[in-house]
Amino acid sequence: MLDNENKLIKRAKRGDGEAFRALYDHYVSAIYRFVLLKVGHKRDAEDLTHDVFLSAWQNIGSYRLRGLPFSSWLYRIARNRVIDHYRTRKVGISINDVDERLLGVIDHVERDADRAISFARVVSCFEKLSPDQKDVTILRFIDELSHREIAQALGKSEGAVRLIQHRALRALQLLLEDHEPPANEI
Amino acid sequence: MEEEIIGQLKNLKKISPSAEFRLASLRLITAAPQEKPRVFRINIKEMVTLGTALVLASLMLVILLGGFSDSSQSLAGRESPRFDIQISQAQYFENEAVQRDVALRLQRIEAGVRQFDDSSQSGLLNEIYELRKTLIP
Repeated sequence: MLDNENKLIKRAKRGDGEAFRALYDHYVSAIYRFVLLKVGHKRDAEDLTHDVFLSAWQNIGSYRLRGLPFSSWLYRIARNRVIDHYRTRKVGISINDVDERLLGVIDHVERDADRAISFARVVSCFEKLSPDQKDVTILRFIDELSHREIAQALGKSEGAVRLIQHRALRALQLLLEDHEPPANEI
Repeated sequence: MEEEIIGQLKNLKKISPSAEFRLASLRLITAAPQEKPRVFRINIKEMVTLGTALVLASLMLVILLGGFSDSSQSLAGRESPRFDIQISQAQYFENEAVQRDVALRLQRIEAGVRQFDDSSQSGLLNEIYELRKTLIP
């Protein structure tokens, strides 16, 4: 959360573009990451991220400061946009495409040859998780949100979030055990 | 293994949109008009009008419901007096028939009595007269 977030939100509510820019700069990477890991395509992720912030800008007047945290509000919009995206386009994700689709990401990730599990294998297995497991994994381990924040963002109880997190990690472990390493990794 | 997975997942935090996208997207967003929140706001004049309308509507409702309930009461009420009237009428007609019958009998007796001599006739006629008075006041 930004230090002066509430003030920025109040200003943005009055149509202050500069205030919204500060909010955008702070949250855009997290939302983009969340969307990209859900849809898998850079262009779609950019379009959806743009839609999320456009919706936030247009509807910030109805956002209540004492209600949901702003980040959770944004994640909710993003989650709904992703659901709509899948509903309308019915895009399937192929694990074989993962390196190609996330090439831009992998290039930025440090590759540690000594690691037992490679980054690419984790990403491949991550894509096999259920939508809820993906949401919780991203928000908990990548964006490092608290269980409470995740619960608010996903509209679930904290207990449910903990359970999904446990199952997601267990599923990832099982998938990694079964997953054959690509030939270039051996 | 769990920590290893989490450690690898944390690498994904390095994902971020390009500067070009951010710039273009933000410019388009802030150029778009904001939607005004739908808040239920009314001024004093509207409040008074609304209040009056509500009072009148409630009054109308009360009148309508009251009218219905009165009419239903009166309908129910009407049934029982009508029934009572019918019974009393029946009784009245029954009494009248008895009276008429008794009066006719008295008339016949009176006619018979008039054939007797004056001394015994006057006493019997007086008695008949009294009986008729009791029967038809």
